[in-house]
Amino acid sequence: MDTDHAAAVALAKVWKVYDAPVLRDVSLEVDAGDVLAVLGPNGAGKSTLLRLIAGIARPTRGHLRVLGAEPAARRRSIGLAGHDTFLAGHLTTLENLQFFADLYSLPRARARAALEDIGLLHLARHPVRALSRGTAQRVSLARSLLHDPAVVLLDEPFTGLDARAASDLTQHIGRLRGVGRCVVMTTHRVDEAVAVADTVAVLVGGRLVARERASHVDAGWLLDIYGSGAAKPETRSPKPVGSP
Amino acid sequence: MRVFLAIVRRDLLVEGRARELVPSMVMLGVLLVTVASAAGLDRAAAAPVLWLSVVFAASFGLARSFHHDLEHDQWSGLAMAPVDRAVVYLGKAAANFIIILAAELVIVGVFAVFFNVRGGVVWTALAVTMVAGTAGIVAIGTLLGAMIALARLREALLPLLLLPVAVPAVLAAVRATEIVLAGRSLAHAQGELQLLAAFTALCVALPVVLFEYVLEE
Repeated sequence: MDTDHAAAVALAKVWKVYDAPVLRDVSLEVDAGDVLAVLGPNGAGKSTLLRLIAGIARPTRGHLRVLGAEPAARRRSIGLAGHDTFLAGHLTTLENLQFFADLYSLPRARARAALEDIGLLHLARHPVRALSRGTAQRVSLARSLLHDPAVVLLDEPFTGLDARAASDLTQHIGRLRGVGRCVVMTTHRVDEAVAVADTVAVLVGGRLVARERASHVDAGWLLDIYGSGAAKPETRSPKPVGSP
Repeated sequence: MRVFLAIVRRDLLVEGRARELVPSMVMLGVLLVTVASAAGLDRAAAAPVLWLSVVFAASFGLARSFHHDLEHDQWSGLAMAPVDRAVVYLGKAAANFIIILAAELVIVGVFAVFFNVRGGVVWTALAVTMVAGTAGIVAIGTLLGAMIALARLREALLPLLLLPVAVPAVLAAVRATEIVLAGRSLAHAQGELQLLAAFTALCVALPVVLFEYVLEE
C-alpha cells in the first residue's frame, strides 16, 4: 500500500469472506473532502464495505487504512449511519444521543444541539420506537455526526426520507465536503449518487467493477455496467481503481 | 467511569421501560421453586432448588439482555465507539447483575415461604451468599451471552453453555447457602465465599482480554 498518499480511506486488495466471499479484491482510495457514492444491486457488498471501514468487522485479507491507521485506532474519527439506527427504541431521542455523547466523551449538551441542528428538538422526549423510519434515520444521522468525524459513512441514507429531508441531507453532505470531511455513501439509485458525489464506484458481486467521476455517470452507464459487468466484472473497470 | 455508568444507566432504563427481563426471570424462577416445593422436596434440597431456579432464571435473562442490543444494531454502535472493551463488558455485566438481583428478591421471597425459611436464618448472610453467587454467574454469563448474541436459539443455548462452566460457582453457592440456611454464621462458609470470589475474579479477567473480539463481527 502506498503509505505516502494521504487518502482518508484506503483499501488494498480487501477480501471479506463469511460463508462465501462478500467482498473480492477491493482496492479503493477516498481523499478528505471527497464524496464517494458506492452503487450496486442488493447483495453487492456495499454495507459490508462500510462496516469494514467503520471497524465493525475486519477484512479477511488485504489492507484497510483510515487516516493512515487501522480503523480500530481511528474510532473517534469515524461516523456511520447504517441501515439500522444504532438507537435504543425504549429511550428518547435525547437520551440516545446523550448516551453516544458519553461514549465519545463529549459534553452532553452536544446531544441537544445536534437535535436542534436537524430540527427535531421538539421530539427530544419522544421514544425512538415511536418515530417514523425517516425521522429515526435523521436522528441516526445526527448520532453519526455527533462527534464531528473526519470520515462519514452513510449506508443508503436517502431511504425513507421525504423530499424535504432528502434535500436537507444533500445540502448537509455538501457542507461536510466543504469542511474537508471524507464521505462514503452507498445507494442503489444513480440519481442520488450523481446529486451528491464527486466519484461513483460500482460494486457487483463483491467486486469493484467500475469507478467514474459523478459528472460522467448516468442511468445508461450504470445499466451497461450491470448488464455485462456482473458476468465479467474484471473487464468492466474503466481504469484501475484507486487511480485519480 | 463515565462510559461504564452510561452503559449501566442505559440498560437499566431500557429494562425499566420494556419490563421484559425481570418479570420473565421471576416467573421462571418462581415456577421452578413452586414445582420443587409441590414435588415434596424438603429443607435438605432447599439450597440446590434455590440455586437451580436462580441459574435458569439468570441464564434466560442474560440471553435476553443482549436481545435489546441487537435491536436496531445497537451492538455495532457499541463496537464502533472509542471505548475500552473491558468497560463495555463491565457495564453490561453490572447492569445484568442489578437486573438479576432484582428478580432474585422475589424468587428468594417465594422460596422462603415455600421452604419455610424463617427464624434462625441470618438474612444478611443469605443476602451476602446470593450476591456472591450471582456475581460469579453474571460474570461468566455476560461473556457467554455476548458470544452467542448473534446465534439463533440463544435462549436455549445459554443454559447449556452456562451450567457446565458455572459449576464451581453454583456448587460453592449451594454449599454456602446450605450453611446459612442451617442457621450457622457466614464465617463457616468462608471457604465457599473465597471460591466464589476467585471464580468471579477469573471470569471478570477473561472478558477484559477477550471482549474486543466478542464485540467484533
